[in-house]
Amino acid sequence: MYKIKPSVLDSYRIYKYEIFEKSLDDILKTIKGEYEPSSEMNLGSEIHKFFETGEADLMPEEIAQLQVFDATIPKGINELKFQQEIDGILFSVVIDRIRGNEVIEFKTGSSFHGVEFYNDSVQWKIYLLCSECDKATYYNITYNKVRPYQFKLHEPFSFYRYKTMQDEIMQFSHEFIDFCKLHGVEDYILV
Amino acid sequence: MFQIINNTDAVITDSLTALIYGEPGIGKTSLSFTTNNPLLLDFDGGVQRACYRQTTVRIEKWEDIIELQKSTELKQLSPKTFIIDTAGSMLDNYLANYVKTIDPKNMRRGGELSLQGYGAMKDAFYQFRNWAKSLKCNLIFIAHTTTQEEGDNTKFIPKVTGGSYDILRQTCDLVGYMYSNKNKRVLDFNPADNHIGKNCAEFDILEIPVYTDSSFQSYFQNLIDLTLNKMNNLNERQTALVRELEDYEKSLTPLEGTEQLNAELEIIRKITERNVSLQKFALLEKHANKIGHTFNKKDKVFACTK
Repeated sequence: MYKIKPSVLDSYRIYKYEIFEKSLDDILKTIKGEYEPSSEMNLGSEIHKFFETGEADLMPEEIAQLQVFDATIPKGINELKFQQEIDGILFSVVIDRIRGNEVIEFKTGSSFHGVEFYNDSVQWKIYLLCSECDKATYYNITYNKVRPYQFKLHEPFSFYRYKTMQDEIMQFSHEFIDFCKLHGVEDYILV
Repeated sequence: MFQIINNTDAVITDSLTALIYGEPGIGKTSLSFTTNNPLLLDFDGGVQRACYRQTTVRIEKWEDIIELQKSTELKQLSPKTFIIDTAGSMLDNYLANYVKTIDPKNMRRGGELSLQGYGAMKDAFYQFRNWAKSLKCNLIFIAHTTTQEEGDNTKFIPKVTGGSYDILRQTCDLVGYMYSNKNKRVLDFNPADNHIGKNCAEFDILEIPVYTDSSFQSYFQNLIDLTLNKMNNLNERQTALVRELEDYEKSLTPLEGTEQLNAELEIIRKITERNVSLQKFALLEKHANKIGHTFNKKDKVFACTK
């Protein structure tokens, strides 16, 4: 059986469609789990930690800004981990937050990628498929690169499940498996 | 009289925002006219090309919109649907030019919008949308199409520039691509490899009836009604589920021993709705941890750690 993480599948999508964003070497390293977390990823982890626990290794004035955002974001159950097998593929998922019938995802970065970038992402589609929720909402937080960081919470946007969603995910996942076979990294996605 | 709405109260959605995009001449404007009492705001000067033409306001500058909003003519017309034709012209030309005139900081030296200008345009756009919503009117944005290359793939997207595009995408409840297939006009709200979409009503690919067909006259209004119905059903379901989970969390307080926890676990296992069982399990696990128990992943039961 194959085990696929949405983040790895999305990296493959970016490699395939977003030219110049990722090299072949980058995507193979991602599949093998051989990447060094960047400073942006570390900061992203702290922001996620704040929304999960209310605490983070950040300056008090930075925390204060996140507290203001947190008050406007619906509460729910954080860091929900689960796995779902569909036709020989095990999707392994950690959702930032679920509230009832809605998946809530936090995205962080020094710049906002635009709604279309997230629309194309397979992440929310897999989350909806596996959780059986109907709606996924993204909350984007961007920041400048000087401390104390000035955070900005962008207008949230939502995506909804649609009829051909599962077929698309499965087709793309099989394409990804073929890619892994071709490049000798199939072992990394086998369980 | 103000109305207090609690976080677990259902909120009725009574209007929506839709985007229809496609090639010129495919019939987007004509389709948008098949709605309740539409008023077309013509930013492109192209209304004469539409079949089944309805009341139209020709817009020369954004200030015309501001004037229209206050006018007695608008009150008399009492529209139920505003059609923006086209979204690209409205945002990239009229609204962008307007914000440049109200503050020089909204414009760079080269004449294009500054970052602050995009913020101002976004604010003006939301003001317009909120005004339409306050009148309980639906908003339909019409856009031409352009292509975007993604590797070997060509994607048809609405012809609206980057910053404006995000504003529009964040706002819309429905996004449909209209195209011709085997001499039939179709409307697809599903996102696909070769076009974008947003389909909260879970429509199939829709074949649009010909203009002479009686079902055409209220075609898009029917889609709006079905979508609003679906959105309100989702809201109701969400409200009920959030309330159920809050009540469930409170009901766990008396559970004290391992046996009680595992008996509750058995009940959760029988829940067929995956998102409900997942969330209830998370709440149960949280309570179990609080009273000195952990979930044993091997045996799949709660065990006491004291």
